[in-house]
Amino acid sequence: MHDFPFSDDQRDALQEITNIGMGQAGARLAELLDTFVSLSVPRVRLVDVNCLSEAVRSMLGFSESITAFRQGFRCNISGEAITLLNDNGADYLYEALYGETLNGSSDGQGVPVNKTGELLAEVSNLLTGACLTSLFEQIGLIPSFSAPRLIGMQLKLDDLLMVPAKLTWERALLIEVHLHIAERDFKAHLLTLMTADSVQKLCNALDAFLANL
Amino acid sequence: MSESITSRLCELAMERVSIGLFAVDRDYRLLLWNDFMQQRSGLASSKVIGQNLFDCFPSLPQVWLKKKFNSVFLLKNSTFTSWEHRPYLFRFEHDRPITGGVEWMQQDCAFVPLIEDGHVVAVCVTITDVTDIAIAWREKEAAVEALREASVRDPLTGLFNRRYVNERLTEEYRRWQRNGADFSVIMFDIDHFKRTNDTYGHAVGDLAIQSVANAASSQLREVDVLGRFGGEEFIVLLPQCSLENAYHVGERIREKVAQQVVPLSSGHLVITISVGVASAEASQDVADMLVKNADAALYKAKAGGRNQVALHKTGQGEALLQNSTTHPLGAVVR
Repeated sequence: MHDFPFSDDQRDALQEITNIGMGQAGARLAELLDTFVSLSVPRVRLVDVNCLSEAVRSMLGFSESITAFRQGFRCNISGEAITLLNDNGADYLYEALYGETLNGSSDGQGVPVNKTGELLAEVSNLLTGACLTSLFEQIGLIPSFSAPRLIGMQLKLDDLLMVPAKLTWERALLIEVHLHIAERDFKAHLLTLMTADSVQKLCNALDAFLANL
Repeated sequence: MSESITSRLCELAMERVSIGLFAVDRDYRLLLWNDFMQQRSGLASSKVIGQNLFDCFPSLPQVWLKKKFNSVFLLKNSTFTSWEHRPYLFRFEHDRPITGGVEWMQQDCAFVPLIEDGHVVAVCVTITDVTDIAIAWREKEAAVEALREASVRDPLTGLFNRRYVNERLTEEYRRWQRNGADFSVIMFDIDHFKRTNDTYGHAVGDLAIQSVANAASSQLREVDVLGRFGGEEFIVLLPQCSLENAYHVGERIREKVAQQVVPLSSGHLVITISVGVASAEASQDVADMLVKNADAALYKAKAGGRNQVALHKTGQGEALLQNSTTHPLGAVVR
């Protein structure tokens, strides 16, 4: 599997930009949660959508069921980000994020709240927002995001990826990051999907970034 | 000139847009409060601009909402809430008080940062009324649930239909193959049903079928699956139930049916059933065999004179039958 159309230089630049972006994202999340957050060194890879399933499986290597959200992003470059999450450590994260306990199904005023759903949507938004904003910041772009929408809960990876017809994008920029919060191993992965047109724009932006070094 | 028109158009849009718009600074003081917010909350912007949001609206979920604002100030990134998780932020009335079915306006919210010189100086919140979508979604969910229920039920008796029983039979049979223990099936049908129909009419036939369905339901456990298998033919799947216990269940159903009466325009009708019982055995590898065996036992009960319970005669069943002189089963198995 080759990472066409990136040159070696462009691929290195993308990896470097992603590293910096993820570092910033991790720092911001740590400040927000007031706890130690580590994001794994991101693994970056560009693949055709019809090879996506195989690539994702080899990158993520997990078989447990997951919750998936999608979120659109748009600037000069546009696409769709998919976050894959499991809800281990959800109770801890909910308190760290909202200052309220995950227990119970309503807020203080008795308004019914689906807290787990709310938390997973928030984490999805945080991860997508922090990672992609930080990444695009490096190449001088400010993306805006649509609200996270649930693709499904308790999905198998295959349910999500085995049907290329469901994915209308031509290329996928896979950015695999592993979010590790405090002592808890909260697994989250980010996939971004783009059209060939947007990938070309990304290449141009990477060239401009390289020229400015 | 054109700049002043632009700014007047912005004002017009703010006034007329059917989206709630407000903004707060880092101390949660209100900087913006559009017409939508004024009309829905009943608080004029002159009353709230410059005031603390939480002083104006003490019922807001303060701890949660402050954290939400803070994440935008800190991360410089938009955040959202969805009615699916949190039905509303402000307790506003909606425009469908009569047809609605939901108490308050359902809201999707977006929290957007205003960034000046690299710092977030304010957070602007948009509130979209999604009550129509929420109601449509709930109606759809209820309709899907009703369809799902209808697709597995027999309309006359409310029992499960044949298709559903067959699905469950396959599942329960696989479970029995994995876990061992016991799995039994009872088949029964109404004695001389054709004669009842011909003599008293189909309406009475239907009443007889309903009466048998009720009698059988009352004798079963939560885990048992009772279905109408054909016209006057019924089936019960009994997971974790031995042949002997299934026999007793069949006997109770038979007794209960015989005790009930179907009211007629003059007098009443006593109906009886014949019952066949079979248990899963290691030598079988298909679930259908179990049904065939129960059916064969049912045929035997018919041949034996009706209004009785018969066991399928292999393995354990045979052993039970051979002891029939001392076993309570002997009284009915002929």
